[in-house]
Amino acid sequence: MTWIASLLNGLFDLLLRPFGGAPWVGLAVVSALAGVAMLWLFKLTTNQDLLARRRRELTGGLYELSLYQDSLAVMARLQARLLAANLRYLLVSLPALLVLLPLALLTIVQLDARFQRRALQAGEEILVTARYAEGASPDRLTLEPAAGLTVAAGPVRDRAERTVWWRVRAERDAPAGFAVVDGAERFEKRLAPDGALGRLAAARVAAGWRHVLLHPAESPLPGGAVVTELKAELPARGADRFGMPGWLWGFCLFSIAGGLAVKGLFKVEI
Amino acid sequence: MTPRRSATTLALAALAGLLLAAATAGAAPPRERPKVLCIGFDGMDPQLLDHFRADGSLPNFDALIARGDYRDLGTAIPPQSPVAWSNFITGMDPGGHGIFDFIHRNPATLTPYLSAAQAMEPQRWWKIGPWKFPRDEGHVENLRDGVAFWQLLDRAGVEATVFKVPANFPPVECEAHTLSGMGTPDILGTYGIYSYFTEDLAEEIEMSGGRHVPVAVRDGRVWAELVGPVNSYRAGDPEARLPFEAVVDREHGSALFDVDGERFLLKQGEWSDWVTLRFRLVPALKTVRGVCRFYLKEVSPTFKLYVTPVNLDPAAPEMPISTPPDWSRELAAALGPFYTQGLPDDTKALEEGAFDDDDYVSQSTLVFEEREQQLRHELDRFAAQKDGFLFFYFNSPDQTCHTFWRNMDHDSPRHDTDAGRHEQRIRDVYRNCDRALGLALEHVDDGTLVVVLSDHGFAPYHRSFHVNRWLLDHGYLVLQPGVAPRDVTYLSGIDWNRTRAYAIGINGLYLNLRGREAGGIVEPGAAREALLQELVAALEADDRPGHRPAGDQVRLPHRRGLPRPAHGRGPGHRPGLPPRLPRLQRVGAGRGARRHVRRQHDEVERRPLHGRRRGARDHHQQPPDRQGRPDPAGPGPDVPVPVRDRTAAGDGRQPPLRGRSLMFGPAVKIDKALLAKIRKYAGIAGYASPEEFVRHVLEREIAKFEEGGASEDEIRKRMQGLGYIS
Repeated sequence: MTWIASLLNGLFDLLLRPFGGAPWVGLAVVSALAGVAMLWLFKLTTNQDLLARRRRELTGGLYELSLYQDSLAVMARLQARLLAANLRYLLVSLPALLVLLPLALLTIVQLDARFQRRALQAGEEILVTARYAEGASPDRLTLEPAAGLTVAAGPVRDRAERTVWWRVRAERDAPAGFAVVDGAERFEKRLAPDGALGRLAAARVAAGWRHVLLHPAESPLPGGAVVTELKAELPARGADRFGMPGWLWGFCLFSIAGGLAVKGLFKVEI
Repeated sequence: MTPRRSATTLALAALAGLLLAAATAGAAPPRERPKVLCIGFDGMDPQLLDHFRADGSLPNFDALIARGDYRDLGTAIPPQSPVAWSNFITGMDPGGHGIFDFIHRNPATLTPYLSAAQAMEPQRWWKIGPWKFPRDEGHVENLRDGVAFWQLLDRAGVEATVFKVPANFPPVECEAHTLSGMGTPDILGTYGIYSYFTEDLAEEIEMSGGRHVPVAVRDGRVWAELVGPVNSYRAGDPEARLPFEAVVDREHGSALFDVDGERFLLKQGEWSDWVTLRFRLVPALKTVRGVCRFYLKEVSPTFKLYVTPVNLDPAAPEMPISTPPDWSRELAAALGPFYTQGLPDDTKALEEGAFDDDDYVSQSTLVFEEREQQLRHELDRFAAQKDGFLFFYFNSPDQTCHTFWRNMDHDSPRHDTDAGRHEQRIRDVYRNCDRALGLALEHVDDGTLVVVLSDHGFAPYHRSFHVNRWLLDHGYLVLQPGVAPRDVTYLSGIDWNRTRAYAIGINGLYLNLRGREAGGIVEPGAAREALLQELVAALEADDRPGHRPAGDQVRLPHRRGLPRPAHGRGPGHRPGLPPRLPRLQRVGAGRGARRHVRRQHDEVERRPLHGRRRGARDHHQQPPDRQGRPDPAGPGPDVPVPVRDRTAAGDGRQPPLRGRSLMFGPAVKIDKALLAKIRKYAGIAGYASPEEFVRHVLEREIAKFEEGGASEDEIRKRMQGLGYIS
């Protein structure tokens, strides 16, 4: 299953490589391409004729509403019919949604790994954690910071949650990362990406669906190890707007724009 | 410093654009309109300043003084910050602006209240089940009368910034940039209630400045709550509470905190950054935000956590703290959250045992550093202006002197061997102020008028005078039958039908005046005048042996204040002329006693002659709590015993005083039964507090061990004889 994550990582690395000097242009281009792809998939997975008919029913219902405004009873009945028509319309779209949502999620996760967080700047401090396997003891776990990183406080061992916490401090810009050591075993976590659009994961987890779907940016932890997860609360790359990160707004905007731009060309009913 | 005129006169002179000599010397071209920078250092004392300057500690003050003018100034009457700063702000004396003390009283009910501001709650409510919603608006009112000088600047089109001036909460309306200072409450509406969580307590204690809350570390975890504002949207007005959790790792001396989803990790002795709290009063509809900082005082062997008072969040203040209203948000966006409470240095935590001296120094250092950062920000903005006015305030000298005078003063009865560790703290703070002044001077050109001023000075505080006790002893204050002095709190138990005078607040001595006080018995007019004269004469004549500093000469000028005119100007202020304060006679000799000039607008001006400091932290004029009961009204409600000689040798020496209350000093646990006995016998003997009684008992017993020789063998034998060793 790790190969899926590797494939996706490679694909997006390839797509974004030309935009290393202008990451947000890269976001726009990739988002637009994703919109085009999603539109095309939508066409393939929906009954376009039925969809068009359902849309015409909705439009007709709206016209009816505008005609019979003087009768509350009729209006109420028409509203109920409009609601039913809407549901029928959505049902036609449902197969497409079931296909598109996972793909959108995988795309968003890849973009998250490149746009959501950034490396530390000198003087910044963050929390990092190591989660350990059931039955293991946290007493041997120690943190080894890479050059340019120091342990500011901790550890705090939370035995109930099987997690060990540290607070680390960047002594210079973009320290490489840290390792959590348990005797001879060593588990590393990156805190800096490779290049402007390199991947930077919030967590490094063991291999499995969680790794593929949520944290593909770094290679998985070995199975059966004492440490099952390493996490770093890296700072966000930009500010949220209305509760969503800026890059996600960008993705939504450019993917919709990309899809709408080719809607006529592909002759897609939505 | 400033010329020998009142601070108010100086402020008006500065505002009028008068250039003081030499401070403006230089080659800069003259401005059409002046540019004035004014820095206020609360409580900066000229004698201390000169003392520290003498050894080269204050080069920036030296530089400014060399280029300008520097004089001593007479302070306000009474010499309290809110009074003095109100004089500065309005150009009036208390008769004009109405601020006579930190604490005023309602003459109808004799209820004390904070003089700076008053909150008016909504009066009418919609009630829906357990919820209630206001039908009208509550508001907060600034009780200071008069026009603030920056309002005049604003009207004249002068760009003005006034940063944290005291006595300006809520800030008066204007277009100037103002941020309220001293007098700004915390989110609870108080001057600051901290929280102290510790394993050392059996039950929660509410102190006047904080809550001491017992916690337990179970399976490495602590659960506790922060108290927020009263939820007036719920029937019964319960307190809003925010639970938090800590994972404690004693071996590594660290703890991980989770406060409303915000996580941070501290090691022992560390302060957190500002943490934003959200008190959800009505789910999805009404949330009140506050900010606070956590201090992990100790992890092992005992978990001890201090949390600052929950300050109004400057990014979303629940009460108005700035003009324009958005300015505090802009400041928070630029600088991050910051202390909005008026007096952020937590002297109460020090008094009440949550802090030791080191903790207090650490906290007050944070406060100063934050203020310096703010100064830098405002100076950058000011430097970009062509003209205008900037006032910037520092509270640190005042609060440091209140708390650490005893460390510096070897003659202080509260100076002990431990105190030496922070002997230089006051000097350090003066150095910090000098550094801040240096920063300011770097940002101004030669054409800018720079004024540095303070509101009052400081002096040794070895004695205090309890007015109500004196009034009781002299028959001016009468208790109800069966009421003992120790039972009096908040003026309860007083027989108002026979009481002619009473004290409340820090400097407040009032007549029980008919037509003003609800139970007044003193007739206005001739009877009032006669009583005033009698009180003055009696106070001046009080010369109990051993209690009056040698060489004191008591001459008490007093001025009868007038009712505040409707236009807000006080007596002595005539249009077109600078206002004059009544001439203040320097009373007494030297600095051996605190200059505690008392003044009421209708009453008597007074200076304490004698008395005995109660055993508490050297902060402020407030006596310590007894058994944790809050005592915000200063000397008024508690009526202690007069000074008596309690040294073992009986040689008339000043009884030694200790700096720490036994309850909160080095931990000595006493069971409830013993504590009850201590209280009982302390009351019978007339001690001011159980702590004083315990200290005296210990001193006498230890003196017995030491009688006649100090060798260990002799002491051991004596202890055996006394039954301490079997």
